[in-house]
Formats: sequence, C-alpha cells, structure tokens
Amino acid sequence: MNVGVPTALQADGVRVSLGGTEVLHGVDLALPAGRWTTIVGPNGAGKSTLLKALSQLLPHEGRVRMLGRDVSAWSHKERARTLAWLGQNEGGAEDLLAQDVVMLGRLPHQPWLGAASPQDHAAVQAAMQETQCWDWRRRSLGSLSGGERQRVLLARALAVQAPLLLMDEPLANLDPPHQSDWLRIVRRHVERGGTALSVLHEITMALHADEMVIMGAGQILHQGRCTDAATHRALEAVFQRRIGIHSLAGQWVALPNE
Amino acid sequence: MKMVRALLLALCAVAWNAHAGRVVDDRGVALELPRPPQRIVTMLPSLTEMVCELGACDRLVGLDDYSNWPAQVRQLPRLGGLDDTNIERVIALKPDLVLLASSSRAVGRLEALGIKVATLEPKTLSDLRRVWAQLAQVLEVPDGPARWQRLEAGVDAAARRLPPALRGTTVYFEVNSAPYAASEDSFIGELLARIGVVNVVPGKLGPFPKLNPEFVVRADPQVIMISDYDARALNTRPGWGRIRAVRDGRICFFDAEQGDVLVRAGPRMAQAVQLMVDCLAKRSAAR
Amino acid sequence: MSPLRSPLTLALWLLAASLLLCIAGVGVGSLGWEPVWTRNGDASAAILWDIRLPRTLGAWLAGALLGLAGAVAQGLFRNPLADPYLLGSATGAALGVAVLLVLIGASPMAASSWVARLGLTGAAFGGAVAAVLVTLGLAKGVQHTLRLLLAGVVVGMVFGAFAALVMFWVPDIMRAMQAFLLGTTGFLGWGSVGLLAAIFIVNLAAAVMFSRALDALSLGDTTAQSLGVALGPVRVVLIGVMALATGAAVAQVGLIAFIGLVAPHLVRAAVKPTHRWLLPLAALAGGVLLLAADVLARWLLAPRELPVGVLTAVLGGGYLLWLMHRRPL
Repeated sequence: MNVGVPTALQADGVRVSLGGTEVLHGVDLALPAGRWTTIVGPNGAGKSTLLKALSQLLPHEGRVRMLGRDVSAWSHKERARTLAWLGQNEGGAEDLLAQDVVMLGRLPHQPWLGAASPQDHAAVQAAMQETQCWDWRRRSLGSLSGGERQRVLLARALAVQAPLLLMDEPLANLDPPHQSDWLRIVRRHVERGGTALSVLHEITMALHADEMVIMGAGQILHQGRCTDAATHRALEAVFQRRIGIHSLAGQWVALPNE
Repeated sequence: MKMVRALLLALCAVAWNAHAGRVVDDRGVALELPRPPQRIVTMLPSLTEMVCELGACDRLVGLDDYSNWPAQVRQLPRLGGLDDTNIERVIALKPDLVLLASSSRAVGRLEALGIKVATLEPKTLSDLRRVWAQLAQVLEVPDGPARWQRLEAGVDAAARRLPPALRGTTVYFEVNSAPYAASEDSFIGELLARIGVVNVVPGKLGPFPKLNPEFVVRADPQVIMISDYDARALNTRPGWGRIRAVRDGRICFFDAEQGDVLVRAGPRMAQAVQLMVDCLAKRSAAR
Repeated sequence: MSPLRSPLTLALWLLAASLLLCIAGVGVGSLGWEPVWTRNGDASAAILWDIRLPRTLGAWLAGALLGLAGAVAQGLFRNPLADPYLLGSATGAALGVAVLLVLIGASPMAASSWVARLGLTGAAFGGAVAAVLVTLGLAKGVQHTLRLLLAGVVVGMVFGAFAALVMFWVPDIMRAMQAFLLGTTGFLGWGSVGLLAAIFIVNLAAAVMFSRALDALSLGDTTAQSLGVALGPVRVVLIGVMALATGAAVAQVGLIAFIGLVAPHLVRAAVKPTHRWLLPLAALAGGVLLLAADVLARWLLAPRELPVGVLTAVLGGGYLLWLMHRRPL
C-alpha cells in the first residue's frame, strides 16, 4: 500500500451477487490516483464484475468512493464525466459511422439538445488520431475489421477525457503493433495526470503497468507494484505455477512453464 | 284404349319421378330422395325462412345460430354457423336432408358421412325464384308456385304504395361503414328497382363494392338507407354534410331486426319492400 | 447508383416526394385522376377542401407516426426486425374496437352515452395504450428489454385471441371489425388531422430529444449507462412515444402493417445516420410510403377502394426485396 498517494477509487467490502450466487466476496481496494493499475487473475475470478461494480454498472453491497466522495453523491452525468468505461464486446451500432460512435463519448459533456461544440469535435479528432482511426472516420462500424473496430471503441472511451479510465479487456482483436500503441496511449493518459485501471489477461502486457491487483475466486489475493518480486511470486501462485515471470531485455515477461 | 293406357302409364311414370324428389342444387349435383324429407336441417337463415314459408316448418329439426324467424323456430336446437357447423350434433339429429350455403365447409364432411346435402344459396331475385321452386319440389309442397305468386304479388303491392311523386328518388344503401354499399346488382338493389327508385351505385361495381366516400358525396343521393348505429355518425364524415339526404334529414335507419329482413334474400321480401317504402314516404321532402 | 451520403439530401428528396404525393392525393378522387382545381363550383371546392385534402394530410401524418415509432422501436430494442406493434398496441386496439362494437350492438341505449362519444377512434386508442400498460406490468418495469419484448409478444397474442373470442361470441361485429383491421383513410376529417398533427409534433420532439440516448443504447446497456444515460426514464419516455404514436395512428386509420418496420430500413439503405437524423427521416419515409399506398388504393379501381394495408405490404415489401437484391445485406 502506498501511503501518501491519493486514492482515485476506494472500495470497501464490495459484494456482488449474480443470479443468486455471490461472485465478489467483500472486496477492499484502494486505487492510487495518477497511476496505471491492472487487474489480473484466472477466468471466473470476478475481474470484470469488480470493474463494473466500481463503475456503478452493477448493483452491489458495500461502499465505493470516487475521488474522496461517495459515489451516490455524484449525479449520473458528473460520474460519467469523471469515469470512462470501455467494456468487452460492445456490440451493435453496425450502422453508425466511426466518428459518430466516438462522438458518443462526448455525451456526458453535452446538453440535451444542441449540436456538438468545437471542443467535442476537437476531442473526437484527438482521440481518433491517438488510436489511428481518423482516416476512416466516415466508414460504418459494421464495415470495419475486429481490430479497427476496437480502436474506434477505444477512441470513444478516450473522447470522454475523463480522469479515470477503466477498461475491460481492451486488447481484444488488436495486433501487436496496435497493442504497443495502446500501451503508449495509457502511459500518456497517466502522464497527463489521469488514472487507468485495466483488466487484462495478457500477463506480459499487464506487467507494464505501475500496480497490479491479483484476483482469485472473487477476492483480492495481492496488490503491489509490477516490478516487485512478491507480486511476481503471487502471480505465479494464482496460476498454479503454470507460468513463470522472467526478465527479458529489461522487461518482465510471463512465459508458460512446461 | 291402348293409347290411353300408355298415356296413363307415362303420366304415372312422370308423377312417380316427381314424387321421387329429385333436385339439382347450386353445385349441379343431383339429389335423389325416396320420400319427401321429414327431418330437415337448415344452415342458412334465408333457407329456414323459405322452408317455413312453404309450410314445412314443423319438419325442421335443427338450425344455424342466426335463424331467428318465424318465432316458432327459436326453440329448435342450434348447430353453429357457416364455418363452425357442429357435425356431431347434425348427425345426432338424424336428418334426411341438410340444406347449406354453397360456401359452407361442412358439405364434404356431411356427404362423406352419408347425409343427403343440398347447397342452395339465393343471392338475387332470380336465384330466389329458382331455389323456391327447387325447395317446393323436394319438400313436395304442391302449391309452391302459387305461394311464390303470392309473395311476388305482396312485393308488387308493397312497391305500389310508394307515392308516384317519389318515383325516381336517388337512394344510397350502405351495408357497412367501411363503406360497403349495396349496388343495383345485389338483392337489395333489385328490390329498390322494383320500388321504382334509383340506386346511385351502379351494378358494374359488383354487388357490394367498397367505395371511396367521395363517390357518395358526388352522387348526392336524396335518401340514405343505413343501420341506426352508423346513421348517428353521418354528419361527422368529412364532406357528407353537403349531401341532400343529410341536409334534409332523409335518412332511413334500420335496427338489427329490420336489417335482417332487408339483407336476407328470402321470403320476407315483401316486408323488406314495405320497410323501405314506409321510410321513403315518411321522409319525403315536404318542402 | 451510389447511395446518398447526406441525410439532408435524403430529407429534401422525401419532402419533395411528399409534396408530389400530396398533389396527387388531392387530384385523385372517386373518378380516378381528376384535378378538381381546374373546375369551378362550390362542389369542387368542397370536395377538395373537405374530403381530399384532410384525407391526404391525414394519411401522411399517420404514416409519419408509424415510421417514427418504428425507428424508436428498432433503436430501443436494438433489433432491426422490431416494429411499433411489438408491445401489443395493434391487437390492443383491435380488442378495444371489438368491445366497443359489442357494447353498441348490445344496448343501443348506451350508444347515446359515453360509449358513443368515445367512438371507434377512442376505443382503439384506449385499447392500444391499455395493452402497452399491461406489457409494462408483465415485464415488471423497463429494466430488461428482453422481458419487455417477450411480454409484448405475449400480450399481443393474448389480446388478439380475446378479440377473436369477442368476434366469435358476437359475429355481427365481424364486418365492422374487418373494415377496421384492413385500414382506411376514407373518413379522415380536419379534426382527425389536427389530432394527428399535434401528436406527431409532440412525439417527434420527445424522440429527437432522446436521440443521443438511443445512439448510446446501440452500444449496449452498460456502455450507455457508463455514459450517464439514465436507462429507466429514457425507456419509459421512448415506450410512451411508441404507444402514443401507434395508438393515434391505428385509431384513425386502422391496422396498417409494415410501415413501422420498413421505413427505417429504407432510410438506412440510403444513408448511415445517427438517430437525430434517423428519427425524422423515418417519419418522412413512413409518411411518403403510406400516402403513396393510399393514393394508389384510391386510384387503381376508382370508385372502389382497395384496403390500404394490402398496398403498404406490397409497396414496402417489394421495395425492400429490390434493395436486398441490389445490395446483399
């Protein structure tokens, strides 16, 4: 636990039940502000569920505080302006143009009626250029490949320009060059003072983050810096020693143990 | 002498054939009945009325749901409508003749079960005359033609009661508020022609055409004949306030019972004509 | 032929088509094509103003309402096969009309009271709204779209069965019911036009206000929620729009099928708009479609009239088939 670092998101005793069974058992989490934290763990550990509960997209017991205030004190729009969420498999919207999809990210900033403001357009352009999909902004979402689509959806989350960026499996369908693009985007977001929280199952990518939260069976098993040996050992343990964390060319990589 | 005997024999043969009750129904199927039928089922209100008018009312054992005239038939068992005839109950009554409309779905089924079926559906005046003769023959009513003459005479008598000044009045008869009208070609249209009034809906549109309401406004009939429910809303129909009949209040409206008399092509045609003549005379333009 | 890229261009085309059809509608009467404005006389003016013009405008407005409701339904349920009758409003209206006809027939005395004042249009509207309320009750609110859909289907079937039952008990009403079910613009007067116009403006305004929310919904419920969309109130308003729009249209012109389903697709085949454009364009397309069908219904067999519902199915379905043939979906 890093003392003195302000907390962007604080969860106390969060429990979530889905379909009658409890999926998250009293999770406590302090998400440091201005850092990139990643959540990893085996399938069914409750990673996505935790992310949704933190974003207020699932009903839960327990308290969640965002930037020091209890989430219930935030209005819908305020919360949407502060926390941007990118989900898994965001479907539908086949007929919308890419730029219209990204413009949806500006919804929390827009009034009921009235056209998009110049700031909105600027934000959309900036987001699309960061994810390198600006060139085909006038193509419909349904005509894009999986990777291109994911970049548009990522741009949508970036366009919100929210200080908190929560992403669930953001690397789906992205090829390696675009995966490193994504790394750069997250780093830049954090450098500008934002906070990022991502659920990843690509362990090697996850090891690039600042902090790592390891989950298993609906509970947090370990939280620590990605460079700490303790974190690495915990990671190997949660995957039943079927992976090993090694140093390679100055980076930490996860390799399967035969 | 031989000639006379031969003639007598021939006459007997003819009489015997006539006695054997042979009738050709609307399908062209010839029906042979050994004896005049004593247990008759009818599945069409106009057929019920005709059987009763021919004096064979007591031979009826079962009716459809809508037959309601004359009063004595109301006690008889009901066997369903055109589309949902209760085959079981028909068979249970052990009829020796079933009279149906040509469009009934029970025809094939009943014949397959060995019941004698005749499909007769009078839609026009000439239909009515023919069906009357056929029924008279199969029921062995000896004075069938005479009864028909009486009916026709009744119609003529009723029609003559129209004040001569009202002959040639233009009439619009509405059957349904879609609007469906009765044209010259329908049974109602034929009766109107007998009365001597003019139907604004020509026969070439079919017997019951669905009209553009504008047509009626243009035709500007002097009298409108319609059901009492629809009569109330006539003023609210756009543009109909200009029609002479609506302006002068010359609307003949009929309740459900009267509607039955008018719409069924049956032996109550004299009564139908009476209803129409009475209304026309009562609502004549006195101005 | 490359698809029109700009929604504005499409809007102008549809407006032009509407204008042309209005002129046609005013020129087609019981004798087929006869432009009464070339002739003078009281009768011609009356026919033009009292009969043809309100009927033409009413047909366009009813089609616009159905097209709008169809676009809302497809956006709300994220299903391109959704049509505005999904929540049971069509059969609800049919049941309302059937019950009213029975009440009228059963007691002509009652016919002079509120029952008669209510009239067929009131009964149809009331039935449609009642059916939607029952659907909402069955689905226990608006949280789950799948439950709403299922409840709507169930209500539609059950109310349809009840209407059939009523027709079975009192077959005298069948003729009148058939006229209602097949659809007609024959008796639309200025009063009806005013009512339709008012409801259209209110519904269009409400729907366009929520057009961004509809766009967000197309990304999924959770994403929409994360963008600050309050799902509950949005769904309630949109369902209200659907119920009002279809109820009003069905009450005035009967059950016209297909327009709500086809109009949004016709728009999407030409442009790829956000809902802010899709909603008014679908309304325009629906108006054009119904008006075209109505003009044809009056023209083809003048002075007889075909049921409009038959022609909307032929026109809308035929055009959709042609589109599918030209560009594989």
